[in-house]
Amino acid sequence: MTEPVDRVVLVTGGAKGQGRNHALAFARQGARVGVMDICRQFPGSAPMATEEDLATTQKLLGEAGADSFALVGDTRSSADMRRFVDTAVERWGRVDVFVANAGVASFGPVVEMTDPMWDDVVSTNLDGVATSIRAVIPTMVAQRSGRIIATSSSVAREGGPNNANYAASKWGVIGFVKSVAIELAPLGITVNAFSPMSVSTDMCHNEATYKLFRPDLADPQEDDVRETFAGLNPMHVPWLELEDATAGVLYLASEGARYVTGAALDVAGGWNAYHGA
Amino acid sequence: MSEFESKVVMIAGGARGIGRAIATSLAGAGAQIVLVDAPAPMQTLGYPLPDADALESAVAEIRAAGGTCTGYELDVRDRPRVAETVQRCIAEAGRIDMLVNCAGVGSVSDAGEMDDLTWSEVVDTNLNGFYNLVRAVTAHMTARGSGNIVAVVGDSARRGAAGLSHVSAAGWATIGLAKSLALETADAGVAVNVLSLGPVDTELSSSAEFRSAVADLRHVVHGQDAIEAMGRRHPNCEPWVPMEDVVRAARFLLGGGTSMTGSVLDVSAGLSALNSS
Repeated sequence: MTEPVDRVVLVTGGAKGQGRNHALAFARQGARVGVMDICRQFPGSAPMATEEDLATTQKLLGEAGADSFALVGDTRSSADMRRFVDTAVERWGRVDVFVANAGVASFGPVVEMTDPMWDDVVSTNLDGVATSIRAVIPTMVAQRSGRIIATSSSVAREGGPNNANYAASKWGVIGFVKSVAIELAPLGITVNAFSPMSVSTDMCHNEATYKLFRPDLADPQEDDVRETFAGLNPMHVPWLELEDATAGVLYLASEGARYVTGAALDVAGGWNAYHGA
Repeated sequence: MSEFESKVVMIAGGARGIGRAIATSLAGAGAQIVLVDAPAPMQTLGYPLPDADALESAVAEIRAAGGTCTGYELDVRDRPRVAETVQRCIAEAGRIDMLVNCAGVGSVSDAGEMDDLTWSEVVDTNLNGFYNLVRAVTAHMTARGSGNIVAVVGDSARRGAAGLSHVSAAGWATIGLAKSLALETADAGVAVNVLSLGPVDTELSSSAEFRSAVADLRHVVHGQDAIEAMGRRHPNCEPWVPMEDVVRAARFLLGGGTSMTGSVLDVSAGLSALNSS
């Protein structure tokens, strides 16, 4: 099956990391691509994108030959998400693929968790994903077609010590996705979660994450954490490269996945083989 | 002597329904019950929430039967007030041995038609409310070296459920939070488990919309038709999970130590046979 070349694809959290890579991959398939990012740093969260990052994504989309737009917006705001979808519909008349990718992380045990650590992570990763998807559904229902992909995580299949905020949010994404998948299945619209292990992005490579994995070291560096990360999965890979993650998302958006819905696709070096469900 | 004799048990959502039934049972077994309930009114549920009078009458009924019981007005969405109430309870009762969260609400809406308030009243109560409670009580329990926490969720926490994507998302996220917290507290003697229930005949499940949704119907049926549809949905052919079975399961979870922690106990009329594990 060949991919349609002129699809309209929207990606949240598209200023850098996985979101940018997904956006560029769709662009190289010939898609028209809109990206949104909040372009602002939450205190205590792993490094987030800037407006310069978002501008760079749009420049790269242009270099890939794509018609594109980039907006600053907050996935937790229904108004912002309607603006994102409306912009695509005004320009291109439709939305074929929606990737609800925007996510943040911060770490600590529940007993020490600050209000922003819980609120920012859960409101972005769960409420924000739901708000985003709720905004695009009416357009896809009117089209009677569409692909919705929400970024979840391997941690959404187990408990995450020092990571309860993130784990809760990513578990919630799967419940939401499965429910919406049932609602939209009669229209041929697919709704899936993508569950990667750590991906080689800023969310993985930063001081707080390194210290979570090597609390025994004062100033852990990449080489110090590689083994600890790799120990999480039987393939013993420390983290996915961006193209490994994007391949999963492209599959869920592909013609060949037209009957795949309500799934949580693990791309995790077999980490998921340890999970009961 | 009962394993609940003199145990201080805080039950959120204890003014009626499942919380009240668990409270009545444990009070009869000698526990000192602390009921918290009477949240601020909500606009999207379609049924009334218990007010201060309902809380007072629940407390009075348990006392009249010879039990020990106090009540605090509390909306679990109010994080500072939750922390304050937990501290007040610890000061007055000396400790909290067990926490049971039954403070859950529900409504029915497809995601594509759901407004922000419908989403947030459910997710803020069912997920963030549970977080607010455990954030407030966990350090007390780990410092004492013992404690038992049970979160009650609906069966949509175990699968997708059309019309219930917000309830499902919050339920899945509650399981992710409970498992994470279990990993953080097991070595300190605190058990955290989830009780996942099929439909129980309470105020929450009184509407034809809710009954039709849990029967997995995509249209609303009324009266006896809805109840019969629920029975057809369930492998054991029963529309409801009887309250006595809910209470028995809650007592089982609360009566154990950390050999059973991070678990989800399904009491779901056979729906758990559809679970992947």
